[in-house]
Amino acid sequence: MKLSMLKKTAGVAAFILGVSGQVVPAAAERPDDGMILKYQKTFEGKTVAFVPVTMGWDLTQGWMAAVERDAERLGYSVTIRDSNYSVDAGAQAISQLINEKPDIIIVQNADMQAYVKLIQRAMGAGINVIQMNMKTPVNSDAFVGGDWYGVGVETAKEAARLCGAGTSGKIALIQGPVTAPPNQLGVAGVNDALVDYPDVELVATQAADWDASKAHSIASTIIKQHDDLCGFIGLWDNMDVGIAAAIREAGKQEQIKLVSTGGGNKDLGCTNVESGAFSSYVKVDTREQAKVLASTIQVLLQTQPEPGSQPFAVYTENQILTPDTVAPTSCWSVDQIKAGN
Amino acid sequence: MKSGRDALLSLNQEQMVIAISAVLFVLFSIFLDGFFRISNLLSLLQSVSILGILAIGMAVVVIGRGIDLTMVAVMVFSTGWSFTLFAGGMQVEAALLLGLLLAVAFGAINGFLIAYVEIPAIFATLAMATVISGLGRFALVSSENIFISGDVGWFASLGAGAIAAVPMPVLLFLVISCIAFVALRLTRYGAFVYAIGDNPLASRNSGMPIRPMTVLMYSFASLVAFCAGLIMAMTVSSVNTKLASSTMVYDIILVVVIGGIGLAGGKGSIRNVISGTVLIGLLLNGLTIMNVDYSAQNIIKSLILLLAIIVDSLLNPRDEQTSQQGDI
Repeated sequence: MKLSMLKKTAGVAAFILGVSGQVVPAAAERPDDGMILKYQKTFEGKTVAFVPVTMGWDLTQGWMAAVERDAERLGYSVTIRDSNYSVDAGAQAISQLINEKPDIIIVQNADMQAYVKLIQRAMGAGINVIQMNMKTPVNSDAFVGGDWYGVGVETAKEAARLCGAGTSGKIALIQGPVTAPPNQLGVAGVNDALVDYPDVELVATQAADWDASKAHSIASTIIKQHDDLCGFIGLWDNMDVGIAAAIREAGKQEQIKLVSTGGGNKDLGCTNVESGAFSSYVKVDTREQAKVLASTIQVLLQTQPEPGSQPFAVYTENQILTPDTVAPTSCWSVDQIKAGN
Repeated sequence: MKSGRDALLSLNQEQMVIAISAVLFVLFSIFLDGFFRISNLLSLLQSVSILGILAIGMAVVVIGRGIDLTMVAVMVFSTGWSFTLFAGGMQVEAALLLGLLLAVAFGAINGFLIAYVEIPAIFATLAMATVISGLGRFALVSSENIFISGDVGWFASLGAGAIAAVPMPVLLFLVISCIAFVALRLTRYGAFVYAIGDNPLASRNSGMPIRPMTVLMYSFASLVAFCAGLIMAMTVSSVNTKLASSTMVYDIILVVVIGGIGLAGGKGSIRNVISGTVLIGLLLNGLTIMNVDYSAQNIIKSLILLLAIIVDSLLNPRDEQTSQQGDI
């Protein structure tokens, strides 16, 4: 009896509220600013799926650290399907996800073509798609990530700055796997930018497969070969520590500058900039990307646009760190991102 | 004409490799600026010393008629685990000791599967390589690249130091070569390895402990892999576990085969490993100096491996009496 009365009263109250369009705060309820209550409810039961190239990178771990924090706070769920470098496994994971119909699929493209059809299919099935760090020619709902060509251009400019007048102007480029798209774009950027600096000469271009040890061997050979070498351009800090080791071994830290690039991991990025092992470091901040990704998810879950109807992108700013400009907060660790710092 | 051909065939593979190396050396010295310099030659040796060390471990197993495809996985995940523990606050000595024990345990499991469960070496170690990589990613290391930022004390000199201008990795390559040489040539266990490689059944019938010996061989290879991993980590202050899924293990086999250690087992010595290593070093160094395109380098390397295997199968034909299904 009492219960039904209560229900009735509640029903009437709700009706009145609905009609008047105003919410009078109940005793235990927070004030509504017109958005917050809706906001808090929007995310419940929503699912976001992520198909990374690998979860073995600080990059992907950093992204997910921020997204998982948000998921816990807001109440949506996150599933990760690690493709572990296999385009096949990634394609299978995406197909499987299209059947499972999550609200958002985040795809970290391994290259520019592999997942094009699948991204279109996912959008056709009504799923919003975010592309991370490597864009296909197809625009999905959002792109978050670095501009690899621009990174190449920046590294080349930095190398040209460091190897300007008064030096030999000879630089060497150590690249990753020649077929990897971020690498191809970066190398294209380096080559195009160097056209503007006729005094800078690229004396060697070798591939080290993102492997520090291989980079070390190649760099030591190049150092021995070109006595007056002025600088190296490396395209990923994980690999470039090998170049740094080779320069250190040759005792040529003063003469040979190393321009590196990476996501700004504390151990790899800032430590090496502070020690001078990297003379200049083009940071494509993973921490920032992680925050942007988390915000993008929030936006898409709230607005739920028709997939592909209003594509947008947030390209990460390329920040240049040098031993003079590096600050204690310039870099991050995955644990810090997890803790929200 | 015929006598020339006979003379060529009468050369063994090691002599051929030395001859080819000598020709390359002379050609590079004449035509490549900056090749013939002590500093470049030392860097040449340094760049292949890790490969050479791994090849020593592989050579012992191959002489005993086996093959170890887990070496690279063992190398990166045992050292990777050590440095993950170190980053977590453990003493460096303790962390390295644990990594070493883990490596030897992996080797012992390989040996057990091959000797007692009687799985052909190539399949047992192929499967184990996947197991080790999977386990490593899942439980041992958190990140693909482990950067070593703390102070590791004197261990740092293993990778970066030099004695009388000779880089430490080169010296360690020579030291490990000497140890393996002594073990193979001057001890009973070494003789067992050759005997088992030459004819496992006959060795068994004459009372050799071929099963425990197999476990010992694979444990040794894993131990060597750990040492190589440690030196590599100290050289570049990081461990790249992605190497486990690279083609590096074939490079190791390349060095072993090219040096003239027959894959059929029972033949060859540490000298072959050294000459194979030097030849590969010469090639890599020369190609880098010439700034040869990456893909072209790969083609050259793989053609040489193919050639070496052809020569190997001509010079060391399979022994039909003792070969088994699954042997290589």
